[in-house]
Amino acid sequence: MPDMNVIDTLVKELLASEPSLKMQEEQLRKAITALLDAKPDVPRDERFYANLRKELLNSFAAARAATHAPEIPMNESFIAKFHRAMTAHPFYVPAAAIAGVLVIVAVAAPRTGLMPGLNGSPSKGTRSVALGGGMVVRPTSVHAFGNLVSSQSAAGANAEAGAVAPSQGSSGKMAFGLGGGGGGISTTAGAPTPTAPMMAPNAAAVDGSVTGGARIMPYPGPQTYLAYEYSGDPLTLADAQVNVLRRIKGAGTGADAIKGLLPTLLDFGRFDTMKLQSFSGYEDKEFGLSVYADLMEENVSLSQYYPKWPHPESGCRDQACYDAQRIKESDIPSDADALAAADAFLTERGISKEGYGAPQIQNDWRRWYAMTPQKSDYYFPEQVSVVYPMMANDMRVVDESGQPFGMSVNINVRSRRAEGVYNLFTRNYESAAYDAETDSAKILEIAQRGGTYGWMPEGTDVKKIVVHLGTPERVLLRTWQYANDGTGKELLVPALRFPTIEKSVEGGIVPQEAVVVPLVKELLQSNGGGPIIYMQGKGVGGTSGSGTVSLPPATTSIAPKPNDPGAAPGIAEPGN
Amino acid sequence: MTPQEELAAVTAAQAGDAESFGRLYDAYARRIHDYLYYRTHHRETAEDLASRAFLKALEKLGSFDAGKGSFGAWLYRIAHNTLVDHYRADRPNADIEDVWDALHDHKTDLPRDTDARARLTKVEQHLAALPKAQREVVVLRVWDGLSYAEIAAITGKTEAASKMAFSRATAILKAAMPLALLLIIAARPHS
Repeated sequence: MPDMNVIDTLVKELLASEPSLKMQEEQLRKAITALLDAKPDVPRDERFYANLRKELLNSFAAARAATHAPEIPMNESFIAKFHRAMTAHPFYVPAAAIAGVLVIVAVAAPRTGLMPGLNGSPSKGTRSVALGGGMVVRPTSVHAFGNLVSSQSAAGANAEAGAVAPSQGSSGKMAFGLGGGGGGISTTAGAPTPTAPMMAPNAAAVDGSVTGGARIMPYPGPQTYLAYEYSGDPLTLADAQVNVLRRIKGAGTGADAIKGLLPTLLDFGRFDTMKLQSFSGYEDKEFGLSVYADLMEENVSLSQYYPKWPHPESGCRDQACYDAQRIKESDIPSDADALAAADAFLTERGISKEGYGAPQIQNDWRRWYAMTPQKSDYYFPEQVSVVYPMMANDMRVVDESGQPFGMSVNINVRSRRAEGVYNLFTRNYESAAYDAETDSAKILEIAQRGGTYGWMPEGTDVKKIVVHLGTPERVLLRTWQYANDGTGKELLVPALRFPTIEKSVEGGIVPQEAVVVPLVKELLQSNGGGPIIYMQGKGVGGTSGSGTVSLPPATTSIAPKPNDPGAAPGIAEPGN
Repeated sequence: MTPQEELAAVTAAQAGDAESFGRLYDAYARRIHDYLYYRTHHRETAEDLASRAFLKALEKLGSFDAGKGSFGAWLYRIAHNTLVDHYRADRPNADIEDVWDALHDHKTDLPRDTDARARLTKVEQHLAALPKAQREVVVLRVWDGLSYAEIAAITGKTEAASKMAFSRATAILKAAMPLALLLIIAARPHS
């Protein structure tokens, strides 16, 4: 049966694009439903995916072995130049190898001072760069970042991608609300199973009238929507302006700090004309890690060096073998064990926790598992992720789904060892004041709608399940400011995070743990960053739950079609 | 995998990290297979094309430039080209850019799964009536579940143009939808 949420999303998009279709909404739904109904069920053979993976990785390894590491052709912008440089200056061959080794050394033995940014103590001569340590914020003028609304609707694109759920059994993860989701290490985690009930994520008051006068075609069952109702303390918003942070990166900051690690061994001055972009290496030992440093993005990540970790399932040739190798619930470490493993790993590797809040386990899978009727069908995650929330201006940083954002340590379930660290990057920011929304009623209205990209379902056959929102926490929302040229700036925007009180209702899972509403005015009125904009309601009534805030009914509108943003980014022709 | 993690994985894979490529494969294997199945309706063919597409992606990994689009869009483009090559081999003289035409050319004797064939007959006459560009956008949006930004990157059109194509295609479908089809939908078992 087609997913009603998908149908609603598609219809909503169409009506936004062509408002004249509103009078024919019923026919539109039928057309969409028919298309979805005709979508073939993809026959799946998990052995095929596993075998192909093995074949690909073998090919990868063979390529390495054939030409000596690194053999897989790397990014042309760096590698081609690097190759030419090596041809002209054989000195660089051992130098590059040394660089790779030194990265390992720097991570494995940070107290040597070779990689001071990682342990939070800036080295002599380096600038105010914070990689694993503290945060640096440079004040700038009011509205210094210009319009915060993206020129490209990248956020909207995320929302769209999340709103249309991947097909049943797809490995794609569902994202909800503002387009969050994903994240962490769940590529092999137990994704929501088709049998696990799940509620529509969007919040809205659904007792509005049906517009258009046309009766919606009967659905196979009632649509169920979550309607968020605020039940926290009275909300007061006193700040007329709030400080938005924008991350600074690029030449002259973190890249220099990393390059500065090796002044006595490598003449990095020679790299000035070839722009060292990244370097990587691996520990050639049991449970070794790969290290990757991106000088452009100014981040360092550690991950499992695949050949040196056990993968018992990789040798399987039949389903019985795969089944025998599946992760069991008892294999999953307890939260306390996972936290201890993550802490021990960071200490061992000398990675500072300065600037991060108390760690949290990302274990959404437990909710999905609890709701899965057929427990035997559930695939448990291969990793457990421990997130150390980034802190800035005494606030937690969260992503658009309200999940804490920060340094992430992955614990391998089979070995119960840490196998990687992500989101370890320089934290240099500049700060600029922006006008803040002080109308608490407006903020609550948006929160009850499910966020700035929330929307209100229409129809007569709608079942509303109330989910309460608690008193909000002031946080920094990590979001992006995109430009037409495809570049983006990372922003930390003051926001309110409203926690959902109920985690499951009527046998279904409440997919979002929180609703996040930015406090910067222009982000609330954006019509360029996403498909939904806030518009003052024209009806009566409302769904206020606090008793102290009177709200108009949530009325949403799709943003008008943006002007043609120009040619889409070109795709490098794969060159068949 | 977040966009940031994906980009990190791509860059690491380009630098020679096999596990990063493995993570990218895990993220896209089923989606690419789905994409190919929707356009071949044959399990073995889709698996074969998915294998070829990923091997091609591995070979061409060094040419991927994140500045020109997302890794996902690049991968879908490879899958599309692999698909076109597949049909071109079967019909060397035909305009094969439009895969849908090839798929529904009954003069070919390409294998099809029975269930997929039965489902498709419900809408194929209507989809076949759409202009090529609109048809592809509709399928990418409705079946593959891709965002307009992704569709734009794959098709080489703008996001706005992709939205417009979808809107117009649906309007055409709406007008052409026969009563019989609506009855089929309405009579579907409730669950």
